[in-house]
Amino acid sequence: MKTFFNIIFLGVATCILLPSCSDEFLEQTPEQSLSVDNAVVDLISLTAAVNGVYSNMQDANVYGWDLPLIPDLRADNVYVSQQNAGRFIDFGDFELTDQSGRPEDEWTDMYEIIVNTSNIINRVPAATFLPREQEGADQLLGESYALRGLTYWNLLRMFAPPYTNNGGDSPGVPITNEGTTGEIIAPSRESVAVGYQQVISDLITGIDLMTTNDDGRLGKSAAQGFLAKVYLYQEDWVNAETQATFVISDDKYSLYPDSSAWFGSYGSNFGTEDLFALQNLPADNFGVNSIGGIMDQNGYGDILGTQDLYDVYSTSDYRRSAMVFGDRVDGESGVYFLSPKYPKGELGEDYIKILRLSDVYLIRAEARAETGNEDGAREDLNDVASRRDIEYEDSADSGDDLIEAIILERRKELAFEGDRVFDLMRHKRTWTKFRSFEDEVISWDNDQLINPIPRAEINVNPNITQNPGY
Amino acid sequence: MKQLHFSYILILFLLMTGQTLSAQFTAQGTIVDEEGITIIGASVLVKGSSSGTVTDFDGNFVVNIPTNKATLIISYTGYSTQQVPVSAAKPTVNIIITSSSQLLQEVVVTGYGETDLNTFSGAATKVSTDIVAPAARSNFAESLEGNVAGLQVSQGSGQPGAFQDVQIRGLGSINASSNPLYVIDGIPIFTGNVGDVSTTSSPLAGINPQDIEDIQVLKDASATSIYGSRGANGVIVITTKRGKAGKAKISANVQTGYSDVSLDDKLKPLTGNEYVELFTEGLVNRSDFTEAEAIARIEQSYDLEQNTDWFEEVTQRGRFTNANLSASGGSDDLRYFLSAGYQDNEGTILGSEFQRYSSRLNLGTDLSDLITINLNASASLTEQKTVPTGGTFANPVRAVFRLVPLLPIRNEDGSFDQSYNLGYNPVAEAELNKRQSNILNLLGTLSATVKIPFVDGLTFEPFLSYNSVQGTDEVFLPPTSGAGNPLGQGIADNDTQNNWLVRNSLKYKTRFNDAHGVDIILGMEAQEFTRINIEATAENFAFANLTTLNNGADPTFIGGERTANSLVGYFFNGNYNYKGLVYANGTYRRDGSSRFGSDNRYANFFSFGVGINLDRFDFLASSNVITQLRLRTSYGQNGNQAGIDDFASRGLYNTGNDYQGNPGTLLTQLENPTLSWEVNKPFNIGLDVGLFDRINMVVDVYSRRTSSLLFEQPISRTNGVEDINANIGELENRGVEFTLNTQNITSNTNGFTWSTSFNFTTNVNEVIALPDGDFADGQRFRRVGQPWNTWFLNGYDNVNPENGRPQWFVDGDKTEITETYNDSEPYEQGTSDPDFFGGMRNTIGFRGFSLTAQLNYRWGQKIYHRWHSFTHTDGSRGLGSTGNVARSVYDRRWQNPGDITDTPEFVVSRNFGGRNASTRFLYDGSYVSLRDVILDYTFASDLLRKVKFGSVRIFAQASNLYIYTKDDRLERDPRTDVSGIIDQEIPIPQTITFGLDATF
Repeated sequence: MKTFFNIIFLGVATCILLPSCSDEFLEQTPEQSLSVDNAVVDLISLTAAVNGVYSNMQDANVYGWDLPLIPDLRADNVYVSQQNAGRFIDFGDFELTDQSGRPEDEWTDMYEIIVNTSNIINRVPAATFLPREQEGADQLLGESYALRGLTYWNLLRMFAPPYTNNGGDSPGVPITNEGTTGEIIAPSRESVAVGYQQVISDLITGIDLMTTNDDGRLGKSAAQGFLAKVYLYQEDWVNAETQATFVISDDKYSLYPDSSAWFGSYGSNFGTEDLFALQNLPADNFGVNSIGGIMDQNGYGDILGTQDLYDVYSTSDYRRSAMVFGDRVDGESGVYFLSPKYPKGELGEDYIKILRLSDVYLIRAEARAETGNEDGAREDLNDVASRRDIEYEDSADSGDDLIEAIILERRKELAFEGDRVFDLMRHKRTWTKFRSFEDEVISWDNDQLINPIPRAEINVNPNITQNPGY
Repeated sequence: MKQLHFSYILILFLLMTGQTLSAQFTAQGTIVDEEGITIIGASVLVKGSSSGTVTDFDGNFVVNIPTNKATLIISYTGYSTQQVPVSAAKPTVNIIITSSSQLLQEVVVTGYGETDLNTFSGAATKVSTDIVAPAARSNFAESLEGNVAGLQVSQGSGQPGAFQDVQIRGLGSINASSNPLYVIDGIPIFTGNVGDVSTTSSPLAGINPQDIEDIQVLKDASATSIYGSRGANGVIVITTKRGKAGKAKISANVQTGYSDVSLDDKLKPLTGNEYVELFTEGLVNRSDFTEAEAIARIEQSYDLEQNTDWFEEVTQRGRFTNANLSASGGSDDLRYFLSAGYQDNEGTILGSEFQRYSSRLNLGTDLSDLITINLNASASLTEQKTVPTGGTFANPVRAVFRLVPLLPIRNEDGSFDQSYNLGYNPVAEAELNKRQSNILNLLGTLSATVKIPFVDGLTFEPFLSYNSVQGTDEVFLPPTSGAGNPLGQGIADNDTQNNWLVRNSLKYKTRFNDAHGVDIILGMEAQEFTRINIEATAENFAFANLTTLNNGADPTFIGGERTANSLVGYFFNGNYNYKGLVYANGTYRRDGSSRFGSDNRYANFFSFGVGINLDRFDFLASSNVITQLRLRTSYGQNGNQAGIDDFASRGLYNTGNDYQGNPGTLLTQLENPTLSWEVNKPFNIGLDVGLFDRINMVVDVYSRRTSSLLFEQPISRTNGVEDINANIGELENRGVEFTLNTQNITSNTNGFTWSTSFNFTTNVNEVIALPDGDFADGQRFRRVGQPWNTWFLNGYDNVNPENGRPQWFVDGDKTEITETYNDSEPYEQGTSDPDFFGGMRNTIGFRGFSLTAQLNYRWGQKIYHRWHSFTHTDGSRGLGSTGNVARSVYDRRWQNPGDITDTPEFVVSRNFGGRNASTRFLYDGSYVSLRDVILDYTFASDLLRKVKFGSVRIFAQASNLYIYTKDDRLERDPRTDVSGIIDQEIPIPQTITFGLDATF
C-alpha cells in the first residue's frame, strides 16, 4: 500500500509529465517466462530446456496416450469397446479425416519437440559452460540430438509409409533443423529415405556426445537401441546387429529373470530392461487422459484385448496374465482388460516404456536370422522367450519359420506398448482388424494406417502434400 | 411542401430586414430551473431576429432588442423551450424553465466530462435505470440487449452472473477482444473472467443495478476517441447515483420469485422404452442380431425397467430474491448517496447459483466556493456456484442429452450409481461437489474540482482511483464423487486483479461575444493493471465435510504467477458552438502501452465532428411540428489493445514444463517486435428528429474500418508453435441504426398513456484484406469480401432414400453427391452474424397501473451445434452409457427404402460418417423473444401522504416467457454466445418475480 501511495505521489507530482519517465513506467517484464534469447545460455538453462523436451514427450498426443496405443489398435492386438467415450474410434474404425484431432495434435507436438531440440542444438555452441560442466552439457546435448532423431522417426512412422515400401522413396516429413530464427517457415516433405538419414545422423551424433544412461532419460545405450531398431526398419541387418550388440553388452541392463520381475517393472517403476521409459509423476497430473486411463475399467476402460492375441500365448506364458478376463460394467461380457501393463490406471502415473532390452534382443535375432546366423538368432529368441514361459522349448525353427517366430515373439512381448503395426507394415502383411462388431481384413498399404497431414497444416503450408486417401 | 417552407423563410427574412429602427431596448434577466438553480449557458434568442445570447455563470443574460417589444426563445438542454414576451416597459424577466418531457437524453457523460447533447457530434445512447433496475438478472449488461441500437449482447449461458459478450457495431477484432470498454464513474475497469474455477463470471455482476443512475453507450469517433487505444469497440459508461441537496430520501426495494427451464416435447430426451426400441432396431440393422438377441444384448448392459428422465433430474426451480435499501440527500455543501443490496439468484441446473452483497457510498462536499471533493466507494461480494461446461463428463447439461435413460440414479442400497459416464453421475456430482467462486470487488475514487480563481470557467480536476477485484475460488471434490474419485481433490485459487489510475485534467468553459461557446479538456493519465494468481491443489481427502486443503494428504500442485501492463495517455478535447446553432468537436489523444514492442509503443488517435441544430434556426424555432432537427457527423481514429496477453509481442520460453520434478522450459511464443494496436476508423452521420414533442427519431449511418488486426496467425506447425501474434488484415463494419421513441397516447383526462421505444440495427461485417489471402480456419472460411464469421462445412444432403446412408455434396457446386464423407469438400455456408436485430418496448399506463413489454429480435444468423456429432450418431457410438441420441434421430430416422429424411438409418456401432461436421448440424438461429413483461401499480400519492410514504409501487415481472424460433429443426434455444456455436451451456431460464418499491 505504501508503494501505491508513493506511485501516486510520484505520478501526480512529477513523473508522468516527463516522456522518459513514462517510458520507464511502460517497461514491464514477464515473470513466468524466459526470452527466447536467454533460453539456452548456460548449464542451468540448458538443463531446463532439455527437461522441457522430455515434458513434451509426456504429452497425451506423444507418449502419454497416442504412441503406446495406436500401433496396437491399428493392428490385431486391441479394439475399442462398443461401450466407449468416443476416443480413438476414428483409428479403430479406420475413419480418420484430415480434421481428426489426434493426428493434428501428434503432428503439432512432435514438431514442437523438433524445434525445441533444434534450438538447443543450435544454441549450445554459443552458450558458456565451466570446464567441470562440460561433460554434463555434452550429455544433455547428446540427449537432445537423440530425442530429435527419435521424434523424426516417430513422425515418419505415423505420417509416412514404411521404409520398406520402396526403399524410402515415398514422401516422408519436413526436415526442419533451423529452430527459432525469427523467420516463419513452410517446408515441404522430404523423402522417407532423407528422413531416415536424418534420424540416423541425429542418433549417431547423440551417441558420440553421451556418456551415461540415467533412468527416465534417453541415454547412450537407449540411443544405440533406437539406432538398431531404425536400421532394422531399413533392413540394414548388419548395422542393426552391431548396434543391438552394443546395447546387450551394457551390463546396466538385463532381461527380467522371472514373472515377478517382469510384472514388478510396470507401474511407477524402472526395470532392468528399461533402456528408455518416461517417468510420469503425480505432479505431471495426466489423470484419466492417459494410456493407463483408457485401459483402466475405473477410467475409460474403452480399450480391450483381442481373443486372437490371447490365444497366441501358451497357457504357461505368464505374459498372458497381462490380459484379464472379465465383464465390462454395463457393456460386453467375457472380454480382456489390459490394465496389468498399466497398473496405475486412471491416475496416469504409469511410466511409459519406450524401449526395452527384450526388444533389442529380438531386433538382433531378426537381424541375425536375415543374415544367415540362425544359431545366434535362435539364441536371442530363446533368451527372451524362455524367461517368459517356463515350459518354453527352445526354438528349432529356421528360414522363414524362424523369422515368423521372432515376429510372433515381438507381438507377445511388446503388446500394448505401441509396436505391433509397424512390424506388420514393414513386413507387408495382411491381418484381421478385430472390432466389437465387424472385423475387417487389412493390408499393410491401407491408407488409414498412415495419418493424414492435418488440414490445419495444409491450410497454412502451400508446400506440403497430403497422404493418399485423405 | 418545400415551396411552403421556402416562402416561410422568405417572409421571415423580409420581416427581419424590413424592421424599423424606431425603438430599441435592452432586455435582461435570470434563468433558473424548477429548484431555483441558475442555468449556465442557456440559449436566449430574439424571435424574428438574428440576435441572441447565452446565460453567464450566474444564469444572467443581457440582450439588445431592436424593437420596442419582442419574444425571447429560451432553450436549454433537458428543458422545454419557452417563449417569453419582453417589452421596453418590462425589460427584466426572471424565467423558470421546466424539465423537458422529451424522451431523448440531454447530456452525454463520456467519462472525461459531460457534454451537452445539443452540441455533440457523436453517436451515443442512454439507457435509463428503469431498464436495468427491475430486471431479475444478476449482470446489468444482460438487460442492454434489445435496448440500444447497434449493441448486441450474446448470452450463451443461463448461469446466473455469467459473463455477457457485448458487441457495439459489429465484430471489431479477431483474436483480441471485441467487447467494449467499461467505465464506472470515470474508471476504466477490468471485466474479464476472474479465477480458474468458475466457468463463466464477470466483475460486472458485482455492480448492483439499483445503484446505477444511467448508462451511456458511446459508439462513434466523437464519443470514443478520447479513450484512444481502448475506444475502438465502443465504451459503456456507467454513472452511479449521487445525492442531491434536500431532505433525506430513503428507498427500499424487495423482489422475489423463481426461475424455471422447460423443454419442448420434441427436444425431450428419449424414454427408456424408446431407447430400447431404437437400439433394438439398430442392432437388427447390423444384420447379425435377431430382435430377441438384440433386446437380450441391451439387457446385458441395462435394466430395461429403468426410465430416468435426466432433464428432470438435473434441473430445478431456482429462487430469486433481491433486496435493496438506499438513502440519499444532503445539505448545500454535503451530498450523499448510500446503498446496500442483496441478491440471491439460483440457477435452473443443480449446482448453479449466484449471490451478491453490495454496498456503495457516494459523497460530494464543497470545501469552499472553489473546491468540491467527490468520494465514491463501493464494495461488493459475489458468491457464485457454477457447473462445468462444454464436452466434459462433469457437465450436467451434457448428461441430459447423452446419458442412456435406462441408467438408474441410485443403486438398490440407496447409494449413487457411479458405474457409468466415467463415474460422473450428474445428480451425485451436484450433491457432492463444491465449486464456489467468490469475487470481492473494491472500488474507490477520490476526485476534486478546483475552480481556478480569477479565470472564470477554468477548473483543475485531479482524479485518483484504485480498483481491486479479488477472486477466491474453492473446489472440493470428495472421493465419493466421480470428479473426485478415487482420492478426492481440493483446489484453492486466489486471483487478484488490481488497477490504479491517476488522471489530471484542466477544463475550461467559456462564452464570449454572446455567441461563441468553447469547452476544452486537457489532461493526462496513467493506469496500471496487475494480476496475481496463486493456485494450489491437494488430493487424498478422508472427510467429506473437511474441505480445506489442509485435509488432503497429498499436495499435488502449487502455482503462482504475476503479470502486469501499464498505459499512459495524454488527451485533448475541444468543443465549439456558435449560439448553439452549429458546432464542432475535436479530440486528440496519444497513448503508450507496455504491451507492444518498443518500436511501436506509442500511437496517436483523434476525432473530428460537426453538427447543426436546424430546429434552432428561425425558420423552425417556433414550429410546433418539428421540435428537433439535428444533423451531425464525425470521423476519427481510435485503437484496441484489449484481450491480448501482456507480453504478446515477445519471444518466450515458458517455465512449468517440468520433468522428473525438475524445472523445464519450452518455446511457447514467437517474437513479433512490430506488434501494435488495432487501428479503428469510425465514420458516422446522424440525424435526430423530434416531432410534436412526442416523437423522437434517431438515425445513424456508420462505417468503421479496423486494420492492423491483432491476430493469432496460424503458421505451419513445423515452426514449433501453432500461431504467431501479428497485426494483419482489415475488417469493416457498416450499418444503419434506427431508434424511434414515441408517446402514442399522452396522459389525458382518462389517465391513459402509451409509449413505445423501437430500435433496429443492420450491420454488415466484411473482411477487407488478409495478408496471405483467403484461408480455411477449421469450420470457418476467411475470405475477403465476406463476413469474418462465415461457416465452412461439408454440405449435407439428407440420406440416400435407397439405403439410408448419409450423403454429402462433393463440393459447393452441389451437383454431385457422395456417401463417403472424405470424398466431399467443405464450402461456405453463410454467417453466424444476424442480418438485423433490435427490440421494442411498449409501456401502457392507466391510473397508477403500468404494463411494459419488451420484445427482442435477431434474424438471419446461422448457428452450429458442436455436440450434435455426439447426440446424432445414428448408432455409431454403440451401447455406451453416454450413447443416447437426440429425439430427432428417433423421430426422423430412415427405416425403409423410399423414406425421405435427413436422418440416416440407425445402425449400432457402424460409422457411416453421419456424425461428422457438416451442415446437418447448422441451423437458422432467427428468433423473436418476449424478453420482459412488467406489470406494476403505483399507489396514489394523496393516500400515501397520510401514512407518510413518498411513493409505493408493487410490481410483477417475467422474463423469457416466450420465444419464437424460425428453424423447426433447431433443437435448442437459438441464443448462443457470440461465436454462434452451441456448446452444451445452461439454458436461459424463464423468471417470474414480484416486488415492492417504497420511498419515504
